Order: sequence, then structure tokens, then C-alpha cells
Amino acid sequence: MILSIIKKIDVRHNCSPYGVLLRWISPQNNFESWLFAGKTTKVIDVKDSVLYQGTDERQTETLYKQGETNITLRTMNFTQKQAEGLATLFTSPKVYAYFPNSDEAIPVQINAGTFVSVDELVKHQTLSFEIILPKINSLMQ
Amino acid sequence: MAVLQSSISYGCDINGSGYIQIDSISVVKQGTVTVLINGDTGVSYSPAFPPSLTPYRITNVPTATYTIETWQAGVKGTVKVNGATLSTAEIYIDCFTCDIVLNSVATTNANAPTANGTATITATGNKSPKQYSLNGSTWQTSNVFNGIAVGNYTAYVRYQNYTGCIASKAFTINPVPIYGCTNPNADNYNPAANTDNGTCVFIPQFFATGGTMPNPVWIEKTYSTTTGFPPKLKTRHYITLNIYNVGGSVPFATKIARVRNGAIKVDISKELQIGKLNLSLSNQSVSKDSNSSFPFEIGFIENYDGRAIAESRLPYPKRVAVRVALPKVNDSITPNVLMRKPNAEELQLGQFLSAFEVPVKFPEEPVCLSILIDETAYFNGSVYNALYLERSYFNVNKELVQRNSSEVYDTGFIRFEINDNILPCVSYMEVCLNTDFREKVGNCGTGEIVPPIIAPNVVQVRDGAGNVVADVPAGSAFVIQSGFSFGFGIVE
Repeated sequence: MILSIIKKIDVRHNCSPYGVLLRWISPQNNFESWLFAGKTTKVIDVKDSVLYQGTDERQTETLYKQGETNITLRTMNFTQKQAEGLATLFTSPKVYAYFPNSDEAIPVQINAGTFVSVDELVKHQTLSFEIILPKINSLMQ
Repeated sequence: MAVLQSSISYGCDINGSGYIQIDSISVVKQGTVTVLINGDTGVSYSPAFPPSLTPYRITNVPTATYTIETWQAGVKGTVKVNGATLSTAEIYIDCFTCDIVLNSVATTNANAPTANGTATITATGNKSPKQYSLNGSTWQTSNVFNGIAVGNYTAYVRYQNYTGCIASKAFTINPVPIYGCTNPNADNYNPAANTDNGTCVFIPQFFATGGTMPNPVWIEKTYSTTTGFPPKLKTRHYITLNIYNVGGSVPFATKIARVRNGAIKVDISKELQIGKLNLSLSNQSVSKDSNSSFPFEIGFIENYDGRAIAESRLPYPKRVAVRVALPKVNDSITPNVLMRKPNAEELQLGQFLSAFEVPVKFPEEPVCLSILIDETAYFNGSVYNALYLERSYFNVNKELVQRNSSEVYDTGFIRFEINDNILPCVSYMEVCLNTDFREKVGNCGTGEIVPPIIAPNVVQVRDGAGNVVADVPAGSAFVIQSGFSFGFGIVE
């Protein structure tokens, strides 16, 4: 006797080697996932440096420098229902990214300025946002 | 002086039968003497004998009044009975014994509530007529009673002439049997049935035990604002809340709340949500995230005047705290409880929870589904039931090519992580909880694979009204004035 609903899950074979797979915990206590196979843009944002200049030196020396990598993910051709599901990504407290050829799940942050484009009149939606990877190891000398 | 006389005695013998006995005959001359005995019911006897043959007893004399005379050769003599000498003696013989027996009551059932049952009383007894009754007060001569309702009765029978001699027997008029299941707790209970035919079916019944917690989760508590006597206002009055796993000694979250107007009101939603997040990927095909839910309890430490009062714990919450308890996208909580109401016609199926109507599974990547499983799914009070998470895999022609089942042992808010090896021809899968174990080891047909989805060469960008703004070739980006970019393509 079947005690639950029969939940249909689509299987897609073609996208695995490419794109960035995000997994995030949703309001339903569930890890949802989505493969962002659209064009990605990687930017390394250099943060402030710690500088040192000796009292008897004219040169300024960099002691410590940090940067972070931001990647813009894009996807398209999803339905409004899927867009509603994707919207939970932006309120999730935990988001993990899987990059091609990597088995490691990297915890990432969603940049606060990103958004989802959901238009009820448009059948297929598009989405573009930025994730922040863990900070690059600080370089010190 | 000798006279023509017969001495008579009468009565009932030890068998209860009447008798008349000629004890002796006296005569004045030789010759046959005849004793004429005539009953008022037509029974008569006329024994004739020489005097030397007495005593002579007539037995089995029925109840009647009898006249007795003594005759010899046309000469009437006298009869001596009970010490009296009479020309014609008159005696009454009645040897009644209460021998009536109510043997049986034959019944026919009634169609409740219609009173159409019948009862036929069978009784035996040496006398008649008999009378019959069902209440001991109203009597009839017929032994058949009609129009009897369902119920318990007592049948009575008596001799009409001996009303004190009564026999009785209890009997029951049963309803006409309607076969079916008469147990109200069964799933196929038939309220109209009155005769159980052993067809009752008991499907495990599931009841709700909890659900997703509301958001926010407020903790409210009141405290006295004064201390000692005379009362002195507490200063630096605040409460430390330690949130524990049930039975735990180390809090996984701590919060401090200032007492305002003698009360605290604290939102601990965030503490519950991020309490123990841990992404665990299992190599097994199905795994349960053991940290997906946990009951919690809260310890309160009251602080004032620079000192702290010993911690007191909040009683065990009835609900299970679900780690992530935000409302759904559409702000409604989907019924997510596997449950079955007693005697409900239909099982309310448990809902798998996912933000996506149709989630997507990629090969070598797990897909997750959550569901709340009540403990009675396993134990219905008498029987333990196995429960299986069943995954069925179909090809593009909707043909089942593979099926896997894994037994589920846990209850509560369970997150399943499905990571089966997917056959290359699988187009979609279906997941359900099943009490039956079903598996199928399938193979794809020769050359049967799912063709990859071809990314479009050109994508139309439309405005809010649906008008095409631009046709953008794949692999390029298009920037619109609002400032965000659309990108597409296969790889960077």
C-alpha cells in the first residue's frame, strides 16, 4: 500500500560536466539543487591591504592582502513554478556550490545585491545573480 | 342383619392416577352383584362379580364426578363410602399433577426495527386445553405468536383449568442477519451489519504528531520584578536562555533577553534554524540526514542584582523542532503529515516536501526529499509494518526500467537523499513510501539513451508585456537598461 504521494523527479543526463550546481537548504527542510549552466563571470575582488612604511624608509611595504572571488551565475528557460522554487535560494541560510570536476561542496554566500527575475507574463524566466566563494587565503609576508 | 351393600373407597394412587376400589360386597342371597359406576363425563364402569372376589380396583379413572349404585338381580342395594351408607353414592375423583413441560420455542428472525418475528411454543402435558403467553398475564390458546420485535422474551404455558401450573422458557428473537464487518475500528466497518463474517480489515492508522514549526518561534515567560521583603525592585534584570537538544547538557545556542515589565519575549527561530546545519552526502543510495530534526528544550537562568538563579528547564515541547522552519514560498504550510483518520474513507497521503514541483536529478548528484513520518506508520498498536522508500525509474516511453526499494526505520521529519545509479535511458523517476517491497532490476534497450537537451541557438528576450525585445544568439550576453545581464551558453 502506498502511503505517500508519488513524487515525480526529472532526470537530466546532459548537464553534469558543465556549469555550477548549487545546493541549498529550503524552507521545507530540504536540500534543493539547481544546475546553473549559463555563462559564468568570475571576478576577484581585492580587499584592503595592510601596509607598512618604516620611519626611515620611503618605500611602502604590503604586509597582508586579501581578496574574494565572486562568480555571476546565470540560468534561463525555467518555468514560473521553478522560479518560485529557485527563489528559496535567496533566503537560504546555507548554500553550497559544486564545480565541475570537483566532488567537494564549497559553502558560498549569495551576494545581497542579486535578485531573481520572475515575471508572470513571461512563460520562461531568466535568472542572474552573484555568489561569493570563500575568501582567498590571505597572503602575508 | 345382612344387606345388599358394597363398600367403596377411592383416591389417587402413587402414580397420580385415580382409582375406585370395591372393598367388599355383602349380600342377602347368592348371585352376581353388579356395581354401576357412571361418570358425568360419560365414563362408566359396571364390574360384576361374586362377593368372594373383592376387593376389586378400577385404575386410571379420569377426573369426573361419579355415581355408584349396587345392584343384584334387579334389586338395588346401598353403597358404603367414607363411613356413610347411601343408596346412590356420589364421589369426585381428580388426581391432577402439574406435568406440563415447555419443550421448545421455534423462532423466526425479525427485520429490525420491524416487528415481524414469530415464535411457536411446543409444550407437553397430559391435560388440555393449554394456554400460552409471552408475558405471563395475557394468555391465548394458540401456540403461535406473530409480530414480535427483536429482543429477549420468556414463553409461558399452562393448563386452562389449572392456571397455577405454569412452565416457562426464555428465548430470543434475533435480527435477520446482515453479514459484514461489525467492528467500528475496522476500515471496512459496516454500520448496517449485525453479524460479523470475519471480513474486517485493519489498515494501519497514522496520526499527526507534529509538523513544521511556525516562524517565528516565540518564547514568552513572566518574572517577578521585585525580590525580598519589603519588596525591592530587581536591578540589572535579564534572562539567559540556553537551548539544548533534549537531554543534552551543552546548549547549542544561547540567548539573553532583558526583562521588560515583568516578561520576556524572545524569537529563537534563528537559533533553531541554524542549530546544527551540516551537509552530509552519503555514498548509499538512500540516506537519512540524522540532524534534520531534533526535539529541543530551553533552560532559563534569571539574573538580577549581579547574581544568577539556578537554571530551570522548560518542559519537553510537544512539537518537534524542525531545523529549517521558514514558511513556504507562497506562505502556506503544505500538509506534510503522513496520517490517516479513523474510519476515513480515503487515506490522506503524506506529502514529500520540495521547493520544486518537479525536482531535477542529475547523474552522480543526489536529490533530496523530506517527509514527516508518524511513528504509527510502523506500529499500529499490534503489528509492526515495514516501510520502504520506493524509487521507480522510467524511460521516455514511460516504461518502468528499474525499481529500487530501501527500508525506512526512522520517524519524524526525515530528509531522504537519493543517489541511485541512473540508467542512461531513464527520463524521470517516481518516489513514494510503500508498505510493500518492490524491486526490479532493469536494463535499457540497445541504443536506448536519452538525447541531451539541445540548448537553443537563439533566445528571445521579452519585456514585461511579452513583447520581444531582442533575439540573442547563444554564447553571447545581452544587457538591458535595468542593469542586469542575461547570460546563456554551455560553458564559460
